[in-house]
Amino acid sequence: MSAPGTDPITRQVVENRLVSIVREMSHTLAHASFSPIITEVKDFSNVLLRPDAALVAQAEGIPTFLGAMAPLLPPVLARYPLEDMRPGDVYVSNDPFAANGTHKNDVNLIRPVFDPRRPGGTPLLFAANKAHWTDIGGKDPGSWSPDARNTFQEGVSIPPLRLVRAGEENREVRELILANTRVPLQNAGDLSAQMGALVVAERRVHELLDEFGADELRAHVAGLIDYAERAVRAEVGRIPDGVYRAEEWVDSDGVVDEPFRVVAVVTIDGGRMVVDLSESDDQRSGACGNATRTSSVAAARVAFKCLTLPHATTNEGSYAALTVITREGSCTHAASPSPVTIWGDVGRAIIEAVIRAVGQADPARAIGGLYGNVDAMAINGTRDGRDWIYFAPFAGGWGARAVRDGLSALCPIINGDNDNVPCEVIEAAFPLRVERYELIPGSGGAGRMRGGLGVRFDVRVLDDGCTLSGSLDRYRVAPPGVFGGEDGALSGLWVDDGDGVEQAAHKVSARPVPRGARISHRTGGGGGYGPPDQRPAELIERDLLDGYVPAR
Amino acid sequence: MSMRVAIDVGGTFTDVVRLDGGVVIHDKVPTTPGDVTAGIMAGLDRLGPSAAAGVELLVHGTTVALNALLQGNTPPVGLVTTAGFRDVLEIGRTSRPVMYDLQQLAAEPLVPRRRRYEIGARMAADGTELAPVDPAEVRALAARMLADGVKAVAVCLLNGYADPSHEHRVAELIAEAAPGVPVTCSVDLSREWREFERTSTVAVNAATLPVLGGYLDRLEDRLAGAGFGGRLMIMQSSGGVMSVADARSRPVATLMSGPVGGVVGAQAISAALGGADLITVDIGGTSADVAVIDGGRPVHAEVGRMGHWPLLVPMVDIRSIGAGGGSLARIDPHGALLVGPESAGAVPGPACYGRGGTRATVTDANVVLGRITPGRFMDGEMPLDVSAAREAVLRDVAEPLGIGLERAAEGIVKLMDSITSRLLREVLTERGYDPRRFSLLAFGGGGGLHACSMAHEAGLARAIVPPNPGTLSAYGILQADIRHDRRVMVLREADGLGDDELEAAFAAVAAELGAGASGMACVLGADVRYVGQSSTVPVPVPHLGEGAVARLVDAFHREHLRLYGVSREEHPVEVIRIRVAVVEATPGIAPVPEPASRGPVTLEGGAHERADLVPRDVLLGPALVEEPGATTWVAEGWRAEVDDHRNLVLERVAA
Repeated sequence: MSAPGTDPITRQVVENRLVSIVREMSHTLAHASFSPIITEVKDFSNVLLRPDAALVAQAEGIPTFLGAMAPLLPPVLARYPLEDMRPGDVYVSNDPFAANGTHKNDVNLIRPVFDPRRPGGTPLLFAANKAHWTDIGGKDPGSWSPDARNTFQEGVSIPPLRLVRAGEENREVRELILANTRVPLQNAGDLSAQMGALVVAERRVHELLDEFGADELRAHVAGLIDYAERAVRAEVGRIPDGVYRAEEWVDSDGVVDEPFRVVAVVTIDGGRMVVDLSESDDQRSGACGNATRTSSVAAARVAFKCLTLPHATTNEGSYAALTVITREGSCTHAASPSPVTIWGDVGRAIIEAVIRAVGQADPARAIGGLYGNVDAMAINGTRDGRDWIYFAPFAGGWGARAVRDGLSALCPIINGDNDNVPCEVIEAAFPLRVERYELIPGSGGAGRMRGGLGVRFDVRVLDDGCTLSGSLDRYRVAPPGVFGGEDGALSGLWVDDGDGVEQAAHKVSARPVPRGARISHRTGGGGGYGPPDQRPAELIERDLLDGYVPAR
Repeated sequence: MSMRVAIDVGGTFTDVVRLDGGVVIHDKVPTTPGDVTAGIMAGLDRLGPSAAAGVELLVHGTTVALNALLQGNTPPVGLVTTAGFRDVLEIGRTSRPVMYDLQQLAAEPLVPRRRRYEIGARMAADGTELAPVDPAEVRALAARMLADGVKAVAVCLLNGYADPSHEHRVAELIAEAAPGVPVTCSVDLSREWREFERTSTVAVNAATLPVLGGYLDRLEDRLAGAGFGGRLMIMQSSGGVMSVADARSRPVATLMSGPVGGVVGAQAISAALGGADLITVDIGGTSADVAVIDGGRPVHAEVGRMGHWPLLVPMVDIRSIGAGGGSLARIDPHGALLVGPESAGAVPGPACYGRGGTRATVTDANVVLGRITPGRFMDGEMPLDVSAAREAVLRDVAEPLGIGLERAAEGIVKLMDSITSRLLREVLTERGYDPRRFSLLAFGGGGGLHACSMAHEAGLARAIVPPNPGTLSAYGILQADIRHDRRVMVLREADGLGDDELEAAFAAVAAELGAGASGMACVLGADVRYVGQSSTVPVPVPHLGEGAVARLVDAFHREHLRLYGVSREEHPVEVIRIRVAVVEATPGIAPVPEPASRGPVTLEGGAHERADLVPRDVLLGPALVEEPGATTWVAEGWRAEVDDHRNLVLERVAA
């Protein structure tokens, strides 16, 4: 029943300890960092890896980091062989191409963990983390440029480098990196926070070794990976075999304002799933139009987990039944030096395409279209001589399910446990007045089950000299309904400069907004599921009573 | 002679603990579902004929409001909001803690959209009035709410935290237009920013207000009928108690009044041990509840939470996990053992109860291992069926795994301890606490059975099992102080905040709470953070006056360093809130003279009666210590020593 040499009960005790370790890494990182994107949006990930780059344990974080951690190790090992590593080493990288990174802002650290009882041995495990730095250089503050045309405009490139040798930091490497960023002090804080998390991980792994010894620990890890694989293969085996194809659209790449296509051909074959993304359109000019292969695999893993065992603990075995095929030169496998910072738009499309394809095989797992991606908006200005910036991701409607309406006002699938900014906090902190924060009646796609509702957020600008930046998705191609359900409403970012006329601002960089202007951010609704005329009467009545659907 | 009595109504038993002539006496009677006041009166009857008349102080922990909320048994509430914001309650914070489950249920809003009403009054963040309250609009709204069947009203207006006058005016107008319908204002519960959290708080309060009010009416009637003329106090989630009148208007403050009693009991134990740092775990039938005592005080949640409702009332931070005596053990199709969160509960209960349960539970595993003695369970009132326990563990776990009965039972217990320990570690490490600094205080019916192994798995210094671990909650309630808390926003960078401004802010809040009366102590503190951080660190403010702000900033740096291992003296600091607690101390319970120690005596392993043990007795594991309602298992390689307060202190002797 279980892998040779391990008993299933101790194995689970070890799993609980491993999960505790990666979670403690995350707490350590979050406490020591002062960057809101880390403390609020939780844009980081902590893992333990095996030397063969198998994922051993991963803390909850941003969903799209699910598959993005293990690929960091091979490029490090290609340059610094295992035999050359010493206790106390730390390796750093961020390059989306040379280091298998995600985007430039995500800085990766890796620390080998040795068995203290075997001096001179090679690493037993690796502790690694990734955190989104507020700025990593490049052409715009925040290194967040939808219209970047190449990787050099997106920030400094860090190939795999040895930052610390046996506890001795190479200050030159640190200084070179920080000198290329706009907020070196803040970044230095995040770098220490990341290093602190790795030290904690090493200490805790050593405690585990005191108890179990290296051989037993290795056997348990193998047993856990094997268990996860068996469980997920059995689940994939419940999906009918066949080849299923679905396509999804991204509205714009940030440079050329036209939609492009992501295609997923999913083959289910006896407990295995192959996701072939190679029919997707060629790589694009702008930073909203590309993802590296690493990121695309990560997105496919999010869909795979959602469709199979969403509550299971994650390790390498959880994805053993998944193969992802990409074509270099396509938007899902962009070649260097393509811009990739806002790869989440392509990521969102990959996730939805895979979900839609598998939904054809097994309608109970299907879900209507999602409202979009992060749909972020930023308003900047200067008050009392200080620059201020209000930046926020926006929630919207999710697709309807086979037996349930879609969820309303929920954060995007590429994010997870992160909060909105309360209106009272906005009004206290910025010269802005929120005039509405409400669900949009009728925005959910009609169906036997209705899509979730989008959200309308209207804000009045109370100061001179402010500018607006926004990068929305799904303002052009609506969230599709499925199995006869209707599409959800489009998203949109609109500005009334004071003349009573709304102008579209779905993708804008530093657009001036005068005092008194009203900015209206409206996210779309989810796609419906099944024909609307099959909707139960009591749900129709409830929708009318609660005004989720306007009376006709 | 006058008596102090604490009553904690649980799902199965109503615990009655009394202080009578300096002696603490623990008792319990069955809870009477339907009308729990019957069980309470039965418990009081056992004090003696017409004893209720001699009770000077009766303190009550009640889950009436909580149960009504969890079961959806609350009357229709009308929610009044600022125009444009009626969906705040439903939008929430938009996060998705359950990240990957596409089929997850929506969090149903406590007040459906059809009963959320908007008005035009509007205030800016600094309290400036942008649009006044329109009396005609509010009166018309009151009539509409009555027509819609609203039985209680909640008011939450945007930026109300900055100035409560709009909400108060609206409440006044509704009260006039709809007499008899209770109205709660968010600002009377919380003066903090974050509209969703305040709306949620006031909605929960309005929904539970009629329920708790009706219950207190019945209880007061019955008590009066029994001749009770003393003071009745109600336990709050904060760990303090409040008057019945306050409870009637603030039922939201009573939600955790059951589990918090154990934490207050733990606080008393910490004090007796010189302020020991404790992590407490209360193991009952279906869950393990975990809290932290740091520096002698229970750690509060920055934002309390009940299910998916955030609550801006002071709450001890208690985390629960579905792991208890009734947790079911089973093997999944891929060969993994699972324990919980599904539970057999009290009915049908574990297989050994013989009440219809047939599936293996943690309690069954403990029975198989001989750690629960059949004739002693629940004080001998519940016989246990050992063969049913063996059969269940054999069938559900041993046979599917192909292992022996004992190993299967050990596996169930080991996994239960592993699951609980993961929560213990999590609760400590997410605050930056080093587990080695903490002792585990294990109580509840199952705490002692699992104490050694949980302490070990979680990396804690030692485990402590207090006397009467089954009724620690009521014991805690008995000595809780009367307490009123308020937190008010300050939102100022420390650089630029004057000492006199800080003092004035505290004085205003203290005056609102009625501080200054004799016997009332004022406890001051502030919630501080580095600019850019999202969460705050609570810092005590022992003295005001000249240099107060500088001292506060200095204390914050030190506290941040202590908690998280880093501080940044050069980074700007902001004061987010001030907090004031007005406390009327309940006289402490004087320690009862302990039986004299017979000197360090090492006793044989095996089973021992707890009542027979005296300070400085030492037991070497494996050994059992039995007492009414609870058993402590001293594992092999562990020793238990009885301390001067009759706690069992468990430490590992063998590596």
